[in-house]
Formats: sequence, structure tokens, C-alpha cells
Amino acid sequence: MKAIHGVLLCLIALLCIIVGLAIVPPVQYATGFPHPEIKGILISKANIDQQETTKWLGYFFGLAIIGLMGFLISHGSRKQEKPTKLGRYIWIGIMAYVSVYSAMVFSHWSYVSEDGGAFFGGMPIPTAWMIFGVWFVPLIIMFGFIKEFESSVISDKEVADFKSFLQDQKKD
Amino acid sequence: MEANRNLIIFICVIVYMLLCIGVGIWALRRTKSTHDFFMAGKSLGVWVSAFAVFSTTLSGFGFVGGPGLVYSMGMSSFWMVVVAIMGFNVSFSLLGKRLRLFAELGNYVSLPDVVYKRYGNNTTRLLMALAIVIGVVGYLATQVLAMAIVLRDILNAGDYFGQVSLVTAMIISCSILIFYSVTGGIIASVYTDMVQGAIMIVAAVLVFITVIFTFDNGLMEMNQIIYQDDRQAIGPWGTLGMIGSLSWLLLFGLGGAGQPHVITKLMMNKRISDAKKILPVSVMGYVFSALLWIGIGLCMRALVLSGMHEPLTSPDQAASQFLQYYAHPLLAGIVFAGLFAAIMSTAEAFLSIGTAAIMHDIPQGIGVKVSGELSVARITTVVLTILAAVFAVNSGSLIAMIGAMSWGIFAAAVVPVVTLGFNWKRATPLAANVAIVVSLVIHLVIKAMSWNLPYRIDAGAFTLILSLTIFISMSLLSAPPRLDKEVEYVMDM
Repeated sequence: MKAIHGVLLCLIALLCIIVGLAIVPPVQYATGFPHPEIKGILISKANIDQQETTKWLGYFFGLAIIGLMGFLISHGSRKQEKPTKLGRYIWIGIMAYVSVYSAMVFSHWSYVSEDGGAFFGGMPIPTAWMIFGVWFVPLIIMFGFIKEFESSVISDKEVADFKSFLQDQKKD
Repeated sequence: MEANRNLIIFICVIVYMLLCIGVGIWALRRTKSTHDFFMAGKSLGVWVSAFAVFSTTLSGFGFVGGPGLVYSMGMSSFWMVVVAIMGFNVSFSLLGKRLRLFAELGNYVSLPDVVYKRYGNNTTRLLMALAIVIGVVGYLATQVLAMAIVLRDILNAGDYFGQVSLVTAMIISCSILIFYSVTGGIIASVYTDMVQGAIMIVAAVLVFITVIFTFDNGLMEMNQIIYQDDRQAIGPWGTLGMIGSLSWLLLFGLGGAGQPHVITKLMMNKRISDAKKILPVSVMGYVFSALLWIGIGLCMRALVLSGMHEPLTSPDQAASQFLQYYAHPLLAGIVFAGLFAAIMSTAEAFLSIGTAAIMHDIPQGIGVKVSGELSVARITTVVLTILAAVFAVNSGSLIAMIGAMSWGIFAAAVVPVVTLGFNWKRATPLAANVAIVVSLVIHLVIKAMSWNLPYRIDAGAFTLILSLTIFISMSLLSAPPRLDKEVEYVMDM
């Protein structure tokens, strides 16, 4: 499958999930409402995790977004429409991203259902997954971009060839 | 020092504003053509480019609107920040090399110019320019509003000139912005970005340390206060919930590659291979600077919930109130100055692309040639600033919300056509035109009719999904377009 087909597939999945969310009976107060005592602050006593259908739709909504970004990065890293060495960093990075995202979502399901929540690094566990995992895991892809820059992005020789091509074009 | 807190802050801001005027005059001498005015003559080094990329991304939207959103919604808006590294990866893998290569193909002064080169279609250039103008007015309004709110709060805290109104503060700040932009163009902007970026990294780290020490038990106590009031607020989805937060993940992760004021910076660096160094420097700069966004917002929410601070009259006051009451006076002064720098340089970046669209791209799109482009550019800059100020005064929305709307307009119109279209030979001009029109119409209709999508999915994210789907589907269903020889060479690299 070409990366562009993967992009289209993820987009269609996202549209289907949005339609699904519009059809399924909504969870009340799941998007915040004004604090009873303090103006300007919102609170939320509910979450879509409380309903079986919406919680899975929410999970797949996130997966489709990650897939979309992964396919797009992969598409952008090709040369002459062929994959490069950067590809392996991209897919390791995306797999790691999916893992920490899933860990965050699943721990949030427990966070919602339990009375008390454990803390890690000064914040609730699912929030810690978000801060220490989701935020920083994409550094893997950045590392690959730097390491494979010459082979997968552009080399000095390619720049020189490009410049001479432009000069030839001007002469023509 | 504490007794003179307001005076110190006031002096720092005045010194910064004078510096801006100085940079404007210095840059005036280096601005000899429209290419210098809009593209900095493709002469920027790695550090200047990298700092310009990350600081333009953050701006007043991040430093004033960001803490306001966290104060109001809890963790939800963290998604605009935590997606940053992924977002930079998307931008650089798709555009870091490609846009810079396209910039070599001609003496271009704007993104629609390059779009015309890619698609060879004047309608695409015209539509892209229109999308940029619409997004610029909204986004520029956030910068002008942020600047006026901060200036008003500083002046009123010191009570040097009686109680200053928001409109008066806006007139003062816009006057300086106009002088700085009209004289210096993009050169003034990118060099202040460099100074501002450095200030923001240091200041954000110091502010975050201050945040931690505001409570006896640091982050744990702060988060516990929020948790006790509403556990969802401190969970990863905040009060907006999972779907709305994830729509921001999409909009800010993918949409970053569609922000013309940011991606045009990728056309200004000196060497094509600089992208290798610009990416990590931009990412690190952004990560450190974002500490200010998340730290202040959570801290102010916890302070208000615990009764240690009066409720804010507007969430947008979170940053200025924190700095005035809890930060060391000198740190507050430096951050306020840095804040002005951030807003000013981003506003200048918007003025630059907006002006180019109005006086260069739209006339080119309809076949009109403008003479004396540099002078016309300067007059257009003044008109655009006034237009944005009027919009800001009358919008009545939170800074971050106007910012998110404009971000969405840019993302939905630019991502398919530029970010993907510059990497995909099958993309056709017709698909590009339809994608831009659909994204603008649907986005503006949703906003105008105040329609709520399921679970408050961001309108920008929805239109981005839609415009990308239409763009790819239409291109796949059409015959492959014939490409210019130079364009084909660049797209093969």
C-alpha cells in the first residue's frame, strides 16, 4: 500500500468516526460546563469513557489521527517516490507513539472508574503518560531525520546537482 | 526591589519598545527590495531561522491565550503543546527540504508565488492568497489584542497615566508595531525573533521554577488542588473531553505544516541543507518555551480554586496576573518584554504574508501589475494593522479562540495544497482549488452559524479532514497533471 492510500484510509476512518459520534446518543456534560462558584473556569463531571461505544470511538479517533500523521511523514520522506532509510525511524516512532497513547487511554479508563487515582511525577497516571510519553516519543523520528539526513533527505552532491541543473535550465 | 515592581516592569517594556524601534531603523537600511522586505533575501543562518520558526509558532496566542485556556479548561489545551514535536516532524519531513528547493526556482516573495510555480494555475494562486488574507486578519487580531491587554495591565498596575482603556493601549501598541513593520519588514521580524526566542527559553524555565515554588509542596500540591475540585480537569483530556482534545492534536500536529507565517521561514534560510539543524533547535526552543504556557495556566487555576487569588475577570489575564503578583520583579519585567517581542515579531510575520497577498498575489492572480511595490507594501501594512485592531476590539472572544480559528483556516486551506501537494505529483490544480474553497466556505459557515460538532470537535480540524479527503480523492480520480520540468526535478529529490 502506498503512503498516500494510507493517508486517505485514515481520513475516511476519521470521517466515519465523526458520523458515528453524531449518531450515538451523547454523553451529557462531557465537554465542560461553568464552575458553580468561579466565573471563567470550566469543570467536567463526565467523560465519553463512561459509555462503551463512545469510549472505543474515541480511542480509534486518536489512532486514526496518529496513523494519518505517520503516513504523511512517511510520504514526505520518500525520494523519487521510493522509501528511504528514514522510514524505519518513522515507523518505530509511530509504533512507540501508538503504545504510549494506548497506555494513556487505558489508564484513563481506570482513572475514571476508580475512586482515587495514583499520581506519578506530581500528576495523575494518565496525565503522566501524556506528558512523559506522548510529548517526547516523537523525538525518535527527529533523531532519525538528523541521523539519516544525508542519505534520506538531501546530500551535498544532490544540492550540487540541483544547482547545475538550474544553471543548465537558465542557459536553455 | 518589590516596592518598585511595577516601575521595573514598566522600564523593561519601554526599553524593549525602544529596541524595536532601533531594530526597525537598522533593518530599514538592509531592506532594498520587495524580496528583502518579504523573504529576507534568503540569507538567514541556522539559529536565526530556527528561533524564527519556533517563536513565530508560539507568539501571543501561546503566551497570553495558552495560559488562559489552561486556566479555563484544565489540561485540554496541553494537546496544542504536546503535539509540537510530532508537528515539527510533519512540517520538516514534508516541507523542510521541499519548500527551500522550490524557493530556488525563482525570485519569489510569497507562498502563493510558489503555489503558482507548482500548479501553474492563477486561480490556485488567487485562492491561496484569499485564504491567507482571511486567516491573517483573525490571527493578527489575536496579536494586537494580546499586546493591548498586557500593555493595559502594566500601565494600570503602575497608575502612571490614570486608568488606561483597552482601546488606548491598542492604539499605542499598534503605532509601535506599524513603525517597526513598515520600516523593517521581515528582516526586523526575524532578528527580533532571535533575541525574543533566547529570552523566552530562559524566562520560561525561570517562570516554571517560580510556579513550582508558589506552593509549599510544588507541582503535587498544585495538581491536588485542581484534582479535588474536578478530577477531569487534571486528567489528560481536561474539561473539553477526549474528542475535542484529540481534534486539537490533529489541528496543531498536522496544521502546523499549514501555517504560512511559519512555513515561509523555511524558504528564507541560506543553505538548503540547514533543515537538519533547524529542526532540533526549533523543537528544543518550543519545548522549553511551552513551560510558560502550561505552568502559569495550571498555577493560576490552583491559586484561584484554593482562594489564594481573586478569580480573574478574563482567563486571558492569567499570564499577566501571575507575572505581576508571583514572579520576581526583574523576571516579570524580562518576561513582559519577551512577551511583547513574541507578539510583535509574530504580528510582523502576519503583516508580511498578508501584505504580500494583498498587494502582490491577488493582483497577480487577476492579472494586474502593481508598480512601486515596496511603497505599496508599506501602506498596505498600515491598513492591515488597523483592520485587525478593529476586528480585535469587536470580536469579543478569547485570544486563544480567535487564534485557534485562524490556525484552522490556514491548516485546512494550506495543508492539502502545499504540504501534501508539494510532495505528490498526482495533485491537480482543480483539486487544489476545490479544497481551498471547500475549506474556507465550510469553516466560515460553521463559525458564522455557531454550529457545534459532536463533542466539540474543532471546526478547523473537521474542515482539514474534509479538505484533505476531497483533495486526494479528486486528484486520484483525475488524469495525472503534466508538470513543469523544474517542478518535476524538485519533487523527485
